[in-house]
Formats: sequence, C-alpha cells, structure tokens
Amino acid sequence: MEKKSAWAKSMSLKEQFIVLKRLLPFAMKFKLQFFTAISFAAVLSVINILLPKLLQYYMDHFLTTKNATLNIMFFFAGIYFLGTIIKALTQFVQNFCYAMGSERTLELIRVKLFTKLHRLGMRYFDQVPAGSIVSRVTNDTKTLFDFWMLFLTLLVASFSSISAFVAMYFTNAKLALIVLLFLPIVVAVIVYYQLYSSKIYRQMREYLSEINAKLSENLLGMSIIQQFRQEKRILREFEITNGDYLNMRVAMIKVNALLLNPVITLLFILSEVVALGAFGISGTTNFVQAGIIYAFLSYLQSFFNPMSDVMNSLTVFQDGMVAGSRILRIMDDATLAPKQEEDSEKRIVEGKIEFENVTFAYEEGKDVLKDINFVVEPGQTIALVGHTGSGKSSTINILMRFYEFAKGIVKIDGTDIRNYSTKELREKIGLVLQDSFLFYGDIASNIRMFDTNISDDQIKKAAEFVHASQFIEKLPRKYHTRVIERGATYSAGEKQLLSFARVIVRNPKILVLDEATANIDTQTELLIQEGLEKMRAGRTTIVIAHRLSTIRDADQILVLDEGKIIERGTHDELLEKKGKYYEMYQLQTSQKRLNN
Amino acid sequence: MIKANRKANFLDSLFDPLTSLIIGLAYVATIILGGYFVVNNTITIGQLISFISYIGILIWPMFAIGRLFNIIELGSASYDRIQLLLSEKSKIIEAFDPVMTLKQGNVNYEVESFKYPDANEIGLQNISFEIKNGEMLGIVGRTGSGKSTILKLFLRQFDNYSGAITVGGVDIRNYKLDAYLPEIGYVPQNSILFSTTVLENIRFANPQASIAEVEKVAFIADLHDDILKLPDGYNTQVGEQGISLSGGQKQRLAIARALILDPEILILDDSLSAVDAKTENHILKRIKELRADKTTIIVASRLSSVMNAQEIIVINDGKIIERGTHSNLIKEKGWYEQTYEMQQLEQQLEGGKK
Repeated sequence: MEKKSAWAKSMSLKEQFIVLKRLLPFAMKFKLQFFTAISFAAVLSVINILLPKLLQYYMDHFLTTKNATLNIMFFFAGIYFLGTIIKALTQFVQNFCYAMGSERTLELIRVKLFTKLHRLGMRYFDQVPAGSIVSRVTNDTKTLFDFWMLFLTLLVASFSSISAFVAMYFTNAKLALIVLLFLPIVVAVIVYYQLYSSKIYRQMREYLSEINAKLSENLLGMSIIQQFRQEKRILREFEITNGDYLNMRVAMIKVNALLLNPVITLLFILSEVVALGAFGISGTTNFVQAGIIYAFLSYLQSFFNPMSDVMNSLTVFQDGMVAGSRILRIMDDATLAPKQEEDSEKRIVEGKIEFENVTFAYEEGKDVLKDINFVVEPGQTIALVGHTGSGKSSTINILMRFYEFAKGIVKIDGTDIRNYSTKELREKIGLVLQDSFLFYGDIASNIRMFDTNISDDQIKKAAEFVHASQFIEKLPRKYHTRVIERGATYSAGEKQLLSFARVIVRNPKILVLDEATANIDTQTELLIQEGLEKMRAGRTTIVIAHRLSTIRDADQILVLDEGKIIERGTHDELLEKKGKYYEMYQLQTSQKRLNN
Repeated sequence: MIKANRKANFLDSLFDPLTSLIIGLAYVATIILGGYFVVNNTITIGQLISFISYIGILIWPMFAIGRLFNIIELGSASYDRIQLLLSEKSKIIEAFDPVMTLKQGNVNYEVESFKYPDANEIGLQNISFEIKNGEMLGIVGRTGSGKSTILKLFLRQFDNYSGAITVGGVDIRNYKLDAYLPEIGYVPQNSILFSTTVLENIRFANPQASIAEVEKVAFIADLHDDILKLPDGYNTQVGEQGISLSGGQKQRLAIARALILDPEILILDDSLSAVDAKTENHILKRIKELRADKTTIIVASRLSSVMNAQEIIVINDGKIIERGTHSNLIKEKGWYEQTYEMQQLEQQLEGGKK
C-alpha cells in the first residue's frame, strides 16, 4: 500500500504546536472547570507531601523517644485521617471538574463541527464520503477527549514530581541535589521511549486500519466472495495482515515491558540505594532520625512514580494530535455554502426571476452552464427541457443557492439573489424533487418539517389542496401514521403528493419542480397533475420536464443542450421552428399514435 | 449525551478518592497500633517504617483490581457478542450425498411459493420457466417485483421454498456447493470491486487464470480497450486506494469477472444499466457467439437488454404476469409494451446521441 493513513504520519513539533494552540480557545470557554481542577491538583500535591511529613514528625518526636501516649497517637491518627479525607475530596473535585471541562469542550467542538458542516456547500458533500464525516464528528472528537484527559495525567505527574523534589530538598538538601542527577537519565529514557514507541505505535495503527479496511471491504463484497467460493483465499489474506498486526503488537509489548516500568524502577532503586547509603554514612558520624529516612524515601517514591504514567500515556498524545488536526481541517474547509446577506429585510413579493449571463461549473474548467439568459414574469411557468447533463438541474441548483455560480447575475424581483436572506429564499421558493425524501417521524411531521407555526388544520388543508388527503385518510392512523426508513412503505406517487403538501403549506411565491420520472400508476399520476395545476396558479413556476405533454401550456420553454439554451419559445412557436423541440415532440406523438 | 457522561465522570472521579480513603484508614490504624507497639517495644521503629512502605506498595494493586472489574465487565459483554456471531448457523446445508459435477446448464425452475424468513408477504408465487442449453431468458418488471428474489433462490441463498429448481436434471439442492456455484457466473446489480489491480479483480474467482484468459473475458465484456487506456493497463489499482472506474466500466469488469470461470450459466442481474446501448449490443452479441452452448439469464430494467432472449417473463408482485418473445409481448400490449414505448421515448429525449 502506497498511501498511508493519517495515523501513520508523524507530525512535526511545529504542527503539533499549531494544533494545540488552535484547540486551546475551545477549552478556555470552560476556564472555571479547568482552573479549579488545576488548583486542586496543586493542593493535592501539597497534601501528598504533608502527610509523610506528619508521620515523620510523629516518629521522630514521639516514637523514637518512646513518649507517645494513647492520646497523642489518636491525635496524630485523627489529623492523618482528616488529611486523607481532604485528599480524597481534592482528588474527586480535580478529576470531576477536569472531566466535565473536557466533556464540555468536546461538546462545544462537536457542535461547532456540526454547525460548520451545515454551512459547507453541496460541493463539499460531493467530494467527501458521508462515512468519513461521521467518523470525524464521533470518533475523532472521542479521541480528542482521551487526549485532553492526558493533560491531567501530565499535570498531576509534574506537580507531584516537583512537589516531591521540593519536599526532599527541605528534608535533606544535599541528598536531594544528588537525586537530581538521575533526572537527565530519566528524561533521556522518556525521550527515547517516546521516539521508539511512537514509531511502532504508528505502524500498529497503520496495520489496524488496513485490517479495518480489509474487513469492511470483504463484508461489503461477501456475496461476491461466497458466490465465487473464495472464502479460503480471503481468509489466508486476512491472516497475513492480522499476523503483521500481531507482530507489531508483540514489538510494542516488548518495548513497554522493557522500558516502561523496569527502567524507571531500576533508577528509583538506584537512587534509593544512594540515599540509604548517604544516610548510612552520615549515620556513622552523627545521629539520623528514622522519620527523616522514612519521609525522604517516600518523597523519592512520589518523585519517580509519575514517570512511568507519563511514558505510558504519551502514545495517546500522537493520536489526539492527528484527531485534532483532522477536526481542524473540517473547520478550516472553505467549501462554504453560498453566502447570503442574512440580515437583509428584502422580501420576495412578485416572484419575477431573471438570469443574466449566468455561467457555472461544478469543477473548474468544466462549465455546465454557459451564458444562460432568461426572464420569468410573475405567475408565469417556464419549462426546462433537454437530455441528461444538459444543465436543467444545474439551473435549479443555482436558483436554490446550493452552489455558487461564477459569472453573471441572478435576480428575483429585480434584486440580486445574494441580497436576500437564506430564510426568505427558502420560505418563498418551494422545491419539489424527483425523489422525495421522507424523514423519520409521521405524515404530519413530514409536511410540517419542524415549522411549529404550522397548525394541524393548515397541514390538512394543504394535503387536501394537492389531493394527498385521499390516500392519507385511508392510512390506519391518518396524519399520525409513522414514516420509517425514508418512507419505504409509500409509493413514489404518494411520496410525490406528500412533498407537494410540504411545499404548499408554506405558500411559496416561486415553485421549482423536478418532474418525477419514476413509474407512477395512472390514477395517482392524474392526482399529481391536478395537484400541480392547482399549485401553479398564481405562482411563478420553473419545471424540469421529462414528458413534453405536461408542459404544453407553459409560457416559455427553454431547450438546453450542453449547458446552453439552444431554443426558446412557447410550445407552438417551437413547433413552428421545426428544431430540436419539434423533433422530440414528433417522436412523442408518433409513439402515441403507435400506441392507439 | 452530556448528562450520561456526567454520571460516568462522576463515578469515575469517585474511584481515586475512595481508594485514597481506604489506604488512609490503613495509615490511621498503623499510626495508632504501630505507635503503641513501638512504645511498648513490641516492634522497632525500623519495622514500623517497613510496614508503612508495604502499605504504600498496596496502593497500586488496589487501583488495578478496581480497573480489573471494569475490564472484566466490558470483556464479558464483548465475549457474549462474539459468541453470538460464532454460533450463527448457515441455513444452507450441503446435501448428505451431494452430486459432485454439473454437466449441463439447462434449467427447469418450478417454484410454487417462497416467503422470506420473517416476512409476512409471499415473495414468489408459481414461478416456472425452462431454459435449454444455449438459450437466453429475460426477466423484467418494476423494482421490488421479485426479479432478484428469483435469482436468490437460484443462487442457493435460500433453500426454504416449495417446488424445485433443477439444473442439468438435478435438483440444485443436491449439488455440492463447490460443484454448483462455480458453474454460475453471477453479475450483481451493484458491482463491488476489491482494492487490488484490474487483473486480480477479473481473475478473482480463479487467481491462477492466465493473462490470455483474462484478456479474452475482458474482450467479451467490451472492457479490453478501456483497460489498455488506464495508466498501468491491467495492473492499474482500482477501488479506494486506486483510480475510480466509471459505473459502466465497473459493470463490465464484473461481467468479465463472472466469465473467467466459463460458467454453464451466466446471470446478469440488471448489470448493464450503466452501459450505453451500443456497448450493450456488443457485449450481448459476443456473449451469444462465444457462449453458444451455454445458458444466460438477464434481469433488466432496460428492455433493450432482453429483446433478443428466447423467452421473456414479466414479473409483478412475485408472479409472472406476461411471458413470450419480444414481438409477442409487443403485440400483447400489456406492461411490457407500455414500458418499451416509454423507454424508447426516453432514449430519444436523451438526445439520441449515444
């Protein structure tokens, strides 16, 4: 495999820093939680050094001299217990605040991502598969959460190491400085481990994603594999990839087993030996208190303990960085939906549409609309005719503002279409697509489409108006019948009627219709035609026509070919012209005659 | 989501403090009892210090045990799910004393009724047809009418029907699967390709096939010239990591893949939909010429694909509603004729350029 997944790439320090810097503002919204957590972490490390100190004092002043009374014992036990309770509370507040802060941060990022996705243009969704977007919003934000939690580990670790050192210093300064000599070795081990393990870790990620890719491909192609009886061969191939992954895991375990705990423990024990040795030497000349030895050794332990924690969690670091950078990439994506002047007060009253020299391309260099000019007067019907790829749907995509066009101007009621708010455009232009998309819910909710201003009565009236009520009334629970799986239980015609009702309930000024090509039984077809007729009255209408018979009464017909308007006029005018439209119409009527 | 996480975070955050508290209690007991023993000279102060260090060593295992329970819980849930998958049994059972070879591709399809498991409606009813060696059968009908269901039974994806399907005079349920399936070249509606080279995709069913054999089937599928235009010819990577082929190219590749085993029966399940009319003609002609003594079944939504079949059956609601040759069906003026007219018209409307 040539191309490597994002997990397999190593990010430079600078890149990592940039990602961090850009993620920080999200966390800053929850300053309170994070600062509480951090200050409690600091308090915790202080408590952690005070508790051994307490024991040290108890031992040196009361036990070695053997003058501890039961009261003193209970007194110290009480203080120690109190300290423990405070420690427990501090730990809880620190963990909880930090986790909630991270959770909130992640929620914010997720919401921002989701909002951003809705602002991205259709172009973006043409290019990026839905599956990978879903994984960005769910998996990557989860990885980022783990990454964020890692900071707490690092924070607590450094607090506890530093405070342990300070405590050591105050217990025995000279010895503490000697212990400090071990630090460069520890740092070297950590750096080496990080470099080496992250290399293995990346390779492991790569194999894992290869396994996942293979798995999903094979599941998708299972019918083919079984049909051609290739199960055994595919299994062998899978075993090879799986074996590679296993080998990497083993390598990872080896590194961890050697470097993670043993080396740190070794260094800890070495420093302990040095400390005990030093105490022993000074013990030959003067008296060393047992409590001091105890305290120093327990600080030494808290000094070294966090190191393996830190090393252990460093592998997650890279993951978080990759996830973060992928999330940022979506946020940075400039494939925005076309911009509107959102606070515009302009209203569409008449419904006059003008296209002036409009040129448009989905991909640069491949113009699908070239210099389109037409005017539709209020209340008129204009029909777009032409074969697949001639530019009919693109014209509608432009009018609906799904895509930004390159050249020319589109006006509604004499005002540039860009100067209307999206809300106004969506309210006043009703779109009926060929294949009506029904959402999970019931019939009424599919007509209402989350607009709470629409009453049940209005829904009923709209359904009656477009003749959808006839089939709705026959349903078991009428307007409250459930719609599942994109309306799989409804016929194409019924879905079409529902989408009519959905549009008409909003009473738009302009109708945009993509005539259905699906086979619809004649009875429903009749209803649809009648419904259409009624809808068109008093509204400016743009129809993409697939059957010429339905547009005979259109005020204007545009024949499109390769993005250009090659003929225009009324039905009769175009017939007289004896051009392309005439040909198409002739064909249709001759077919009809053949039928009868 | 935040709410559910808040609870999880709350419980998670409780874990460390609780452990600290328990350890703390151990220290408290040690301060009192240990102090008492030291003062009474039962133990030395050195022993007390070692004892306290042992408590320190206890901390980590206590954390670990807590986490362990958590992991056991997760693991057992995962294990149950894996068990469930592993215990899933195939509904298709090999015959006890199976027929090991398939000699002839003449088909006799007599299915009285079939219902999908868990479905209430009848999937197929009284479907019967016969295809002799070297003949072609066309199956047409609107989406969801049951065309693919007919094929699924044929491909032994379901065995629970009443009636019998015989190939070469033997009930297909009596064949050994390894003998039966390789003789059926099935080209599905959605041509799924694997992420490897064009060559490997074509010889998927027989990785040992020679280049010449691969080129021959690519020629039948009218794909050879297209492949030569690809950057690396037959060694071009396709799928997610490689270049993406057009819908028509994918379909033709799937046809070539099915032909590599030179099957007795070739089934095209609406697999010419993205191929233009001229190419379709080429392919059908070559299939007819080069597979003269072999059987072909074509399921199509475009009627031009089945026009030359010896018999065409029209399916609606799992039943045969019309049957006959193209010219007979046109005369009948039923669904077939109407659809044919409509498609002719549509094709002209598309500009007649293709």
